Amino acid sequence: MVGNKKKVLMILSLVIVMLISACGGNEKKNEASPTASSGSSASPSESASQSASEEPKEVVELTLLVNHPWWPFKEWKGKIPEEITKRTGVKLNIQLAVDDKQLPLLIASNELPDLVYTASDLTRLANPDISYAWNEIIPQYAPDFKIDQSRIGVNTMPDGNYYTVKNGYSTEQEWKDNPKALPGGSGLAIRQDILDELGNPKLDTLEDLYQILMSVKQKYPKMMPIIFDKDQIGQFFRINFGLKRNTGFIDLNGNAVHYLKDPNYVDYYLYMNRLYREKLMTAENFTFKDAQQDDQLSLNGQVFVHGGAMADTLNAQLLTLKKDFSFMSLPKVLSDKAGTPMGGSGWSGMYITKNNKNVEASIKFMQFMMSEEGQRLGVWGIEGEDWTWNEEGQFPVMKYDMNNAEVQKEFGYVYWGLLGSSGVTEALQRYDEKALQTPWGLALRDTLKFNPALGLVATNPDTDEQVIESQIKNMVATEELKIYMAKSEEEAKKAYEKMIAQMESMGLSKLEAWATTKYKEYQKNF
Amino acid sequence: MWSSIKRQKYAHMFVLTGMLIVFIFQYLPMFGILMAFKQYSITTGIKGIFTSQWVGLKYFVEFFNAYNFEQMVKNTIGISLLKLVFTFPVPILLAIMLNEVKSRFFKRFVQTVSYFPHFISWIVVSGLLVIFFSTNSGIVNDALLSLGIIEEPIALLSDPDYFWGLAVGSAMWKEAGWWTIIFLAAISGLDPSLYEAAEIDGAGRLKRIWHITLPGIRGTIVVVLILAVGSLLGGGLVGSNFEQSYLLGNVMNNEKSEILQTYAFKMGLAQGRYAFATAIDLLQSLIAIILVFGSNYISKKTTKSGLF
Repeated sequence: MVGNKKKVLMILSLVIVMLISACGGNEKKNEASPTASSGSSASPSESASQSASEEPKEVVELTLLVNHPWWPFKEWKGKIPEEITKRTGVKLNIQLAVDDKQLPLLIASNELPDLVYTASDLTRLANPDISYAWNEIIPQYAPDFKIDQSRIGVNTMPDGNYYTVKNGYSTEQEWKDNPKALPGGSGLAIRQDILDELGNPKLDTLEDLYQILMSVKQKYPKMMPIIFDKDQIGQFFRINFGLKRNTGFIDLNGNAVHYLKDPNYVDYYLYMNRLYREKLMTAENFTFKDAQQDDQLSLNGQVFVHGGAMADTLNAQLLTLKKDFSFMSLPKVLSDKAGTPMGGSGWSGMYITKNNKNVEASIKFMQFMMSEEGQRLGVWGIEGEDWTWNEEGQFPVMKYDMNNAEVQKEFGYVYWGLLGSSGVTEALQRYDEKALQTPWGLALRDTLKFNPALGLVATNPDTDEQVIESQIKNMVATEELKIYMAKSEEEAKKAYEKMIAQMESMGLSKLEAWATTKYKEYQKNF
Repeated sequence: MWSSIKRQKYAHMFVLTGMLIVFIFQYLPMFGILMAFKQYSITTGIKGIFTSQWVGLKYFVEFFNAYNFEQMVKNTIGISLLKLVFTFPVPILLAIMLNEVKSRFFKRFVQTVSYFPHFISWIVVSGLLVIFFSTNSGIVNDALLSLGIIEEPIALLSDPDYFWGLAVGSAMWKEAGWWTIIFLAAISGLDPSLYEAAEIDGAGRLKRIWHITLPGIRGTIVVVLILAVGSLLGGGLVGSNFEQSYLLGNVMNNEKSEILQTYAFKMGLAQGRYAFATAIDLLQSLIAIILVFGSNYISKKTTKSGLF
């Protein structure tokens, strides 16, 4: 009996200990961060004495959450990040977001790391309780950090502060000044061998493309005439019709209206619907959940045209697989309506959170990453060793295979540069005289249409406008499919009209009225 | 009373520990329900649950006004009812049949094979389903095509008309074996002398099942049924409504696969609108409570046995 009692007591105490430790777990974590910060708080004063050019004495370690689950680099490792650390004295511990729900959760539980790099939840992070406003910390910690007015303009929030400067942004003038800067955009990779077998038919219009796909279907019934990268479905054709995608507003007679109301959208849908009705594309393309699914089909030789894929990347993989075919990259747009709306204020921004251990080192790190030197080091590599200017000094000539994902990963090219790079620096990296993509990039360049004021019109979280917008987006995701999959052109048109009517009934006019007011406000700044 | 408590103090300590756990992890977090009625913003953290403004039933109204509200409710209830109707009897039948198998090896074999899928996660199962049923390289479609049984591949994964069947079928395959164990255990508790007596009286196999096995496990069936009804909107016995709709649902079959839970996830959690998600969930819990009490009441009236 006594033995039994002892056992019972032991088990009970074990359970209680487990229970208490489970409850206390959270608190311990919270305690840990202040001690950690006090531990490293010695370093700001030290690093204050170091300017970027001096040899840093002590490396500051900061944790960065990269809120892009697909991000190819899991660690701060390789020649380029090491060089960045050498010049800035900052080493990053990388935390890669598992999905798009992690960041909101970290915000809610106040467990954000030192730095967050994200393209979503921007307005949530731009909150004085969550992040430091750059306009407040720059005069204090990095008075020589100068940011040009247009960048400040596009990143300034309604409260008058700017909490980040997003990468990927360049003014229209910067694009003009760099004729070799190539925008990224969904092109077509086409099987060269099959085109040859078909006798290289004329391919200048969307109708030509349609006819070629039809003849591929007849001659190669086992092949899929066209397949898209799961995130790029139809995108090449949207470009050809000059359309926006996913979100945002367009300018219609001076008003900001929902992007789906673009009069060309119906033509785009009808073209896509025809591809589907003629069985030139498969319905299952819409169900792909894995980015590899479409690549696998292309690499296995089951696909004629791969939308959104890069021919150079596919060919590099085909070479290792020892396949006897290759892809070409369509070097042009196929319509005179083509356009690439550049309404953006940039893509992804670095936020210095209130949990940051070393604000000074963080803002100085960003100062370096946004400097010309830092941008080029991050995106292109080490000057002289990895790249040199071409003779006219227009674009960098890379000494490494920049389309090879393995090479990028080993040395850390491109991606860490994105933390602070401008649109043009990124775009110049794409220019490679030998690459198949380059003519496509040049063609795309001619279609750029700028409207920064429109790009700034974005709804704020937890507002009625945002609720309307997200409900419409959710509805469109389902209803749009009914247009793609319609059994006849008539039915497709009706489905489109029904979708627009549905949008109206969900409060679109209220959203558009709000957007137009904002649009006109922002227009004054440009 | 005190003396009996003192006598059973160790047993009581167990109960207390359990109650403490329930209190800390189940009751304490319930204050979060407040969110459903407040203009809560995640940037305000936990404190915000108490300090943010009251908005009354705003989120409930928003939810009722969702453009596909009717469809979601239809899907949620449709899939759940089908699961209850089709998957509830299967483990009972399987258990009875296994009980009648004389070969120990065969019995063990079937049992192991049938409950094994329970341990495979839904993400893996959804991958398996793609391998089997995909239209362009799925094993089943390839086989049927090459045998000339069908001329066009069957779009089981993308055609909305197949989704409910797919959900019920795959859930049955995954969970039926697992619940069989419960019923087998109940059957093995029956007194063998009853069967011997019946056999002597000349009762055949079916008669023995009908008059001894089934009435013997009636209590277990009722308890499991009430539990299943209580979690009806989550998929009942076999659960997994959310996992299935989230993993097997896609833009193609969305009209048949979108359910309340995936909607709460997409429009609430994924967008950081915790208040809205809480409102939807609260509504669901309410329905679940009504279902549990309702089924318990009916069960007590009709079979005289219930959960409480």
